[in-house]
This record gives sequence, C-alpha cells and structure tokens, in this order.
Amino acid sequence: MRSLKTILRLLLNDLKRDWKRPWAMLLLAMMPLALSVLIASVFGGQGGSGPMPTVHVAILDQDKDLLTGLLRSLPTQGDTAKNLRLHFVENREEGFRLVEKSQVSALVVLPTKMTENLLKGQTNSIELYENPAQQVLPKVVRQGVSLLALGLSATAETLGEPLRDIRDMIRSNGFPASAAVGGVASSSVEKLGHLRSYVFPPLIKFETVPAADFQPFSTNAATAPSTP
Amino acid sequence: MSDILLSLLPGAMYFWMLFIGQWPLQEVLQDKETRVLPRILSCPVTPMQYVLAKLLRCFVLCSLAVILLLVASALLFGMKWGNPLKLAAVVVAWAGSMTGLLAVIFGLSRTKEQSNVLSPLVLLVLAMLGGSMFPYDSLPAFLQMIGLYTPNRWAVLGLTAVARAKPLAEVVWPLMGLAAMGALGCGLGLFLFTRQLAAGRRK
Repeated sequence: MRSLKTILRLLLNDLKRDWKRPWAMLLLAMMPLALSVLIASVFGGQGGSGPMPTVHVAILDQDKDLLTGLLRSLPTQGDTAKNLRLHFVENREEGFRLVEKSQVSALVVLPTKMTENLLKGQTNSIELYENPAQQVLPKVVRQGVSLLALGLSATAETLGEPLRDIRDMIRSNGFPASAAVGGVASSSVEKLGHLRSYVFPPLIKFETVPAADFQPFSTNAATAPSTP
Repeated sequence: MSDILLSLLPGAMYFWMLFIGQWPLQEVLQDKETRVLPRILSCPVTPMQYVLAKLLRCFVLCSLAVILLLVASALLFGMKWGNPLKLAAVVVAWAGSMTGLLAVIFGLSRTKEQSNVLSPLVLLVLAMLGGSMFPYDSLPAFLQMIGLYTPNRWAVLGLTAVARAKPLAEVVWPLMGLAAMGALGCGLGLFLFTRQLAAGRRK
C-alpha cells in the first residue's frame, strides 16, 4: 500500500510538471491531425466522397457534321455538364497552347469527313494529345475517347442507314415530308428492336457503395480472427 | 473529409503519440546520466517504484494525447469514432501497447544517446510496415504480411473497426494483440530498467 502511494506521489509530481509546461506535448499531439488534414486536402480534395473534378478537354472539330454536332451538345446535359467542359478550338496551335498552359487535360482532333466516312463504313482516326503535366485526368480523357470511338463505331454500324437519312434531311433546306420522317423513325425502331435481346435487361449493372460500407473479402468477419 | 481522415489519422496518431510517450522514459536515462537518480533513490524510493511511476506517466500521457486527438478531430472535422465504451478500450489498449513498446526500447538503451538512435529507428520501421506512413494496402504483399504483426497495424485495425461499427470480433483481436504486447513489454521493460538501475547503484 505504501509502495503504491510512493508510486502515485512520484507520478503526480511528474504530471504536475507536465501540466505547467503543456505546449510541447500539445504541439506534438496536434501533428498527426495537421499532417493528416494536409494530406487529405492534397490527395482527397474535400474528401473521398467529395465532388468529381471537372475535366477540361480541347476539341478541334475538323468534321463539323452530324455526329460531331451531337458531341457539342453532350457536355450541356445532366451530370456531364458538371464534370466535363469542352473547349472547341479552331486549329491545332490553339489547342496545343491550351495544353501547354495546362488549361485542358488533352486535345482531341476529330478528322475531316469523320461522319461521312463513318456512315460509309470507312475507318477514321481520332487524334489525342495528352497533357504531360497532369497525372490522372489525361488518362480519364483517353478512356473517354476510346469509349467514344467504340460507341461511334457501334452506332454507325447499327444505325448507319437511318443516320444517313437524318443527315440528308438536315442538309436539305426544305421541310422534310411526314412520310420520310416516319420512314426514318420506323427503320430506326426496327434496327433498335434487333438489339433488344442484347441490351435489355443489362447484364452488368453499375452500383456505388459508400466507402464506410465497403467490406473487402480479406477482412470478412469469418476470416478476421486470424489478424494478430 | 472525415472518410479520408479515417483512413489516414489512426496510423498517424499511433506513430506520433509514441513520441509523446518517450519523454518519461527518456527522463529515466537522463536522471541516471545527470546523477539526479542517486539523489531520488536516496529517498525512500526503490528503483522499481521509480520506473513504475515513469511507466504510469507514459501510459497517462499517451492516453490523454489520444483522447485529445479523438475529441479534437470529432469537433473540428465531425469525425465519428463510434461507441464510447469500445473507444475507451481502444485508448487503454493503445496507451498500454505504446508504454510496453517504449519500455523495451528504453530498457535496452544504456544511455540517452543510444535511445535517441534506437527509438526513432524502431518506431519508423514499425510505422512504415504498419501503415502509419504509407497506405497499408499499397505495400507489397510480403511487406503486408510482416506489417500485419506490427502494433501500428493492430492499432489502426482496432480503431477503424470501432469507428465503422464492425462486429466485436474485429475489434477484440487487434486489441488483444495490443494488450498482450503492452503487458509483455511493460514486464520486460520494468525488468531491464530495474536491473540497469540496480547495477548503476552498486557501482
């Protein structure tokens, strides 16, 4: 008992000393918080579940036709408007200047007669210049352009004929005849009908899970007891 | 912000709190070197009582620092650390393991200089392997295997399990590892310190 009292007396004396000079301890105690917040703000923005960054892409549209016209309206729709900003440029130099100033993550060049060649079933090449000063966003653009190329190829392959008709209608100065519009609509629906068994219902669904609820397989409750 | 902090802060907390815990044990070596210790031991105080008081002070300081950080992060960044009772168990296990680890490191050191070299070396290696410095998941598989047996990793697993309201089994195993380490380390450290101080007394 006396031994315990001695220990407690020694402890209290030391703690009193610490209480009188707490600054070093407080400073050291705040270090992990300060460093973690710093790292979180650098790598995580407002946090892991925070907003997606906006991807700026320069587009040189040398085609100026139906499909590339559709592209222009893409970033003004839905969530895309928040996360994708397209900067249409008149020539390559202007696009490269934006890349050099790091105002865009990539420059995409849509070739001349792209729509026409696509509808004829001919091969096209989309050029992509990635911004070397950025790490992640150019890769996002590359994936996006690959998807776009795939999507355009599939669309041209499947809906080539109706698209050609629609293009001709838009190009003709007169108001299209009801029968022609109806014909295009019915042939489009017919083409899409062939895809129904492939597209509906989708075989793969995309679902997001909050980080807090994510449970990797290796830390399942059943395997957890093997930890320490 | 709290989501990413929850994956960064526990590891960093455990690493930095160890530096707070080393002060009391460094004082033992300092008192020995500056000849203050013989004066203290000339009073009715045994080396074991003296060392036990220092170990207790290390435990108290580590606990207070961890509590301070948990409260500060909750108030400043809205972090939710989970059930307070389980959290109290985590704080005790953390502080106990820190005391045990530091007791062995400083018990093995003969001088303050030795401890100044040995302590950061051990703490940094443990921090790197245990995920206090880099995300544990980004370590190579063989380092992850080693890191799984570091107190830093157990500390992170214990605290994040409580914060994410994981099943009790996921909380208990890391905390048992920490508690065992604390008990063994304190016992070994106490033995090493008292033997060292008794030998110094005989000289």
